[in-house]
Amino acid sequence: MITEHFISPELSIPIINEQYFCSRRDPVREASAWANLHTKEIEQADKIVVLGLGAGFHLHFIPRGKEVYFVEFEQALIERFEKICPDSIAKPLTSVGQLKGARILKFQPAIANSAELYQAIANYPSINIKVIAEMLKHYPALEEVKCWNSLRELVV
Amino acid sequence: MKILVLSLLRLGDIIMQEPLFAEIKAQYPQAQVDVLINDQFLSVREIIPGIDKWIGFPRNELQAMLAKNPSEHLLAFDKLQDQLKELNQKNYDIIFNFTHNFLSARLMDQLTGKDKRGLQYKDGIKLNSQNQWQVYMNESFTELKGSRFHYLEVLANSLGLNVPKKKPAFLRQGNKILLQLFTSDPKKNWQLESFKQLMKMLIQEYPDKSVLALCSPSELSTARKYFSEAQIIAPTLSELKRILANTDLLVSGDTSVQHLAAAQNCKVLSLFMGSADAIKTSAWQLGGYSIEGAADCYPCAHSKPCHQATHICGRSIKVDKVLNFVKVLLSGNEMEKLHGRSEQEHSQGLSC
Repeated sequence: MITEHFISPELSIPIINEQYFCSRRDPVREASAWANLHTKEIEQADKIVVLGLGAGFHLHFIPRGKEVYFVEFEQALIERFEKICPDSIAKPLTSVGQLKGARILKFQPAIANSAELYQAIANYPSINIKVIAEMLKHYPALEEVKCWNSLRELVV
Repeated sequence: MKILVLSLLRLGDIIMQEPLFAEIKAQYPQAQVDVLINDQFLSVREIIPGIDKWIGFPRNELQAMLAKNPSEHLLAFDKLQDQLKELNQKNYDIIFNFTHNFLSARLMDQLTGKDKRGLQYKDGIKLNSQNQWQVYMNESFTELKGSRFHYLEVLANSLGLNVPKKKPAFLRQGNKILLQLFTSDPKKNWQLESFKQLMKMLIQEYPDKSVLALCSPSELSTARKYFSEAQIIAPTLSELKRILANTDLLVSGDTSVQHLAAAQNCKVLSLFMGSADAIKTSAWQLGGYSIEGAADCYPCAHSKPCHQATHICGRSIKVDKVLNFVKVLLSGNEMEKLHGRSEQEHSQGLSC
C-alpha cells in the first residue's frame, strides 16, 4: 500500500510498507546531487536507463533530448510517477532492447532493497532470464514479455 | 482450414494422443493438421500417420542456451520469437493445446488463432476455463490424485473433441510374444529377474512361439546381463511398429510401447507400478489388460524417486500371476476367465 509523506504542503514522497525510496528531508537536493555526480555520463549519452525510480525527482535533472528509461520493481511507484509527471521524458523500460547501447545509472536510494537484482540488470548484456522476467513483470500483455515468460518456464 | 496442435510432452504422451489426432482429422476432414512437438521426438512422424506437418520445438536447445552464459539468453529469445513468428504467419484457424503445462499455456498466449482451446494464458493472465473437463484435468492430472477417467477421455472432452473409440485387440495366431523390459523411470520397471523367469516359463508353455525381450538400442547393454543376444530385439520406432503389427501379445510397463501396440491392434498386458496409473494412461484398447502393483504408496508422484527400501509395488506383481494372464489372453477367453477378479487386476476392456 503506497502512502504519501508530506515534507511540505507542496512536496511529498512515497512510502510503501514503511519504506522510503529517497531522502525524507530533502529529496530534491539528493536528486540534484545524483545528477551532478553523473553529469559527464548524462551529457555523453544519447540513451540512459536509470535503475530505481523512487519519488522520481532525479529524473527531472536529465535534460530533454535524451532517450530515458527507468526500471522500477514497485509498480505503485511507476503509477504514481506517471500520474504526477505525465509529460516526463523518462518512461518505464518495457523491452530488453531498450538497454542496448544505453548508459545505465543507478539511483541508490531507490534500489537498496533489491540491490542484487538491479546490479544484475546493470550487467547487461550478461543478463539472465529470471532477472529479465522480473524486470518486465509489470507488462505481461506485451508480446516481448510473453516470449520472455515462455522462456522462463523452461528454467527450473 | 488450418489446425495446430501443441503436444509438448514426452514420446509416450504423443503416441497415446494418436487417437485424438485421428479424431481431429475425422471432425475436420478438409483441414491441414500440424503438430508442434519437442524436436527430440520428431521420429514419431514415422509411426503416426495422418499429420500434415510435424514441427519441432527446440526445447532442449533453448534450455541449453538458458543454462549457459546469460548473454545466450538473448539468443534464446530470438530463436523462440522467430519460431512463433513463423507459426503465426501460417494463420491457424484452430489451435489445440494437448499439453497440460505452463510452457504450453504461455505459448498459447503468443500464438494467434481464431479459436484457441485448452490451457492458456491471455495477455499474461491464466484463463480460468469454464469447461468442467478442463477443471477436472487440472484437479486430477497435475497433482497426485486419482481419476475416474482416462487421460484421452478428459483431454478430448476438455477440447470439444469426440472421445475416440478404443481399438480392439486382435486375437492373433502368430508366433511372437514380446516382453518389453524398461520404462523411462526405474520405479516403473518390473524386475529384470522376473522378466527372465517369465520368459523361461513362456518358452516352456509356448514352444512354437518366439518369446523375445524388447528394449531400445540404448538399453541393450543392461538387457544383455539377463538375456542372450538371440533373446533380445532392439528395433527403431518404425521397425517396432511393423513388429507389433504381427505380434500376439506385448507384456510391458512402458506406456509408449503399450500405446504403439494398441494402435497396431496388438494385445497388451500392461504392468503398472511406480507412478504409472492404469486408469489415467493405460493403452486405449478394447481387450487389453493391466496388472497394477499392490502397495499403499502406489501410484506415487512422477517427480520423485521411490522412497521405499524395496520396490514394493513392483515386487507385488508375481511372475505366475503374469503368466496366468498371458495364458488367458492368448486363449481368447479373457472375458469369461478374467471377469470378476480383484480390483488390482483391472481390466480395461471390461471396466470402461
